[in-house]
Amino acid sequence: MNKSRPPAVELTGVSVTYGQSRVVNDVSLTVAEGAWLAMIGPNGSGKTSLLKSIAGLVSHDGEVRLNGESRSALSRKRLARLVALVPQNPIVPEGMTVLDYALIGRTPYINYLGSETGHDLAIVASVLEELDLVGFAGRTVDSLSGGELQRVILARALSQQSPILLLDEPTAALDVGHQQQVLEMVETLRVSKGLTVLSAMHDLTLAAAFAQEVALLSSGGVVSLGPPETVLTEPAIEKFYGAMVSIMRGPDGGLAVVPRRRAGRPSE
Amino acid sequence: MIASRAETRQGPVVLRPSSLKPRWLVVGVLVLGAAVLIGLLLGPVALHRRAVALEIVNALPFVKVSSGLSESHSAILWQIRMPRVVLGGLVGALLASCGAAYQGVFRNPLVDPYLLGAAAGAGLGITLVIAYGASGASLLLPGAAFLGAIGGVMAAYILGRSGSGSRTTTSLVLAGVAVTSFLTAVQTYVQQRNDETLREVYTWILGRLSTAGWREVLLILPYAAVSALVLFLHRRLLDVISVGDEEADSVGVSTARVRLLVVVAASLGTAAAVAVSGLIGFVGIIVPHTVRLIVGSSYRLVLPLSILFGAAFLVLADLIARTIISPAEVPIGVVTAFFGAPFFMMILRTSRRNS
Repeated sequence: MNKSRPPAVELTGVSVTYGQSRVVNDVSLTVAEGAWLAMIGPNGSGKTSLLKSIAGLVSHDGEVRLNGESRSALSRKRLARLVALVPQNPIVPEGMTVLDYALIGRTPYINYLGSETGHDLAIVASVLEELDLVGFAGRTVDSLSGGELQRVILARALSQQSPILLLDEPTAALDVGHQQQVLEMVETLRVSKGLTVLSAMHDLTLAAAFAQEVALLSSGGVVSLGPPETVLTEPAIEKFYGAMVSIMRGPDGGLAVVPRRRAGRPSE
Repeated sequence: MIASRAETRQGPVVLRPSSLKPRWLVVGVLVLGAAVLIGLLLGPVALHRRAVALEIVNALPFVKVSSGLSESHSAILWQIRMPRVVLGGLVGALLASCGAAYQGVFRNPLVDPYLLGAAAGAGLGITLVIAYGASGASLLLPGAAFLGAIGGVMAAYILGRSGSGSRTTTSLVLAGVAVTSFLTAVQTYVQQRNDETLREVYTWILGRLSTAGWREVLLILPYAAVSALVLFLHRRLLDVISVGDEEADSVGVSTARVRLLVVVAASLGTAAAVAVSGLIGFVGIIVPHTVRLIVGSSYRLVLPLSILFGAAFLVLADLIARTIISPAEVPIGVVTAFFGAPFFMMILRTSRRNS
């Protein structure tokens, strides 16, 4: 990797406070360009708030730098050309077509009162092609299945052509097949377009399979950061999730985090 | 994959984003033209179709034809029916487009100027001017209506958000009902306290176009033009906002700023409509939803077509109001509520089922 390039994402002392409660507490981390960082941690550990602070959607203390530039110095439009967000539970507007929905991703390139050009349409067309969605272009988003919808939301984010992609629980509502399909798509795009990916994830096995680095969050702070093998340990999962798991190696050498039944629990 | 192979065999798929196709524009203009013509022809005095058509042609620049209309009939056409039809069209276009805009900006299919407190606020503003204003204060009416409308919408929005903590479609509507009741109570009190203007206020409240003349048309034309233009220009951004505030922010739109601009423009339009026609409900619900059923939900179509179909709808509603018990008149608000209330229930049912 080119050492002279600044990291894609650099957080220094980032804290997010809602009213009285501090949900992200003094987080500092860097993500290299083209890398995939998975943020894991129990519910309420601050994963979503951390992603939102990077996307500029919540006010926070500390500094966020993107490709070396301070985020607070960027206009909303320039920020949207740099960072795209796939939210966890997006609103699905009734009656909107897949094409219109994906075209919303071109907004950072369109003047306030302007409308999209043929160039914008061509970019969206190629994104739909890439995600195998061309046949869905005229369908309405509220008629799609969970897996299809997740791909359409991804298509909107990719239409922004932002080098940094934030995914908030991208596979939470999907079955195991669609989980794999969506993450493999992201992985392919990361490699082919050099995207930097930050994802909040609940499935630890999938996090280990796709991310080069894992950040374990607890009570708003990063308690462990590094390659999956060093972060995903049985004692750490026990301590921070209160869960009993076995961590095994799959046939391909990847980690598998398998929940186990605690001893001494009644069997009926 | 099988699906994609089937597609390539059919040739490339053509991608067409939602946009206003000329076909729909033509249909809208034709419907409005027909409504205007019927509105001009029907009434206590029958005017001949051919003569009315010739009169209109004669009014075009550089054209001179004789219509054969008598002087009194010509006066009925130009001084009574024409301003009334034009004003009805303007009010209908405003109420429908403002309804569509409120629905978009609050992401709520059930709101319209009437239910959101905007109309009641405008009503209070106008009552205050009539009751306490000097005799020449009628030029203040649109301004007072505007301040009342903005106040009403803001109050409903803030109440609707704080009341339940959730952003359900019904909490905003309930807040709108509460604000409307409150403003109407204050308005009724002011009205009763000033019984010398009671009749004037009461006539106006029932919602009618019967006093319409060219003066009213000129009074609201500038407000109508500004409001409709601002709303029309924001049609794409209303589509962006429909995917959610955070999502809209994350693609580079300042949702708060767009919302403020659209609410101000829609309240201006509502105020202008209320200032000349009184309280006419449900136009902002019936028209945009019918347009959505026909052409889809994109505001690029819903806004411009609501302007055209809203104008046509109110011209026809006024026609019913002034002919059904002729020579007396039914307030036009009664006609729109008669059609609107059942329609509202229908939308409430479908939006419940979806949420």
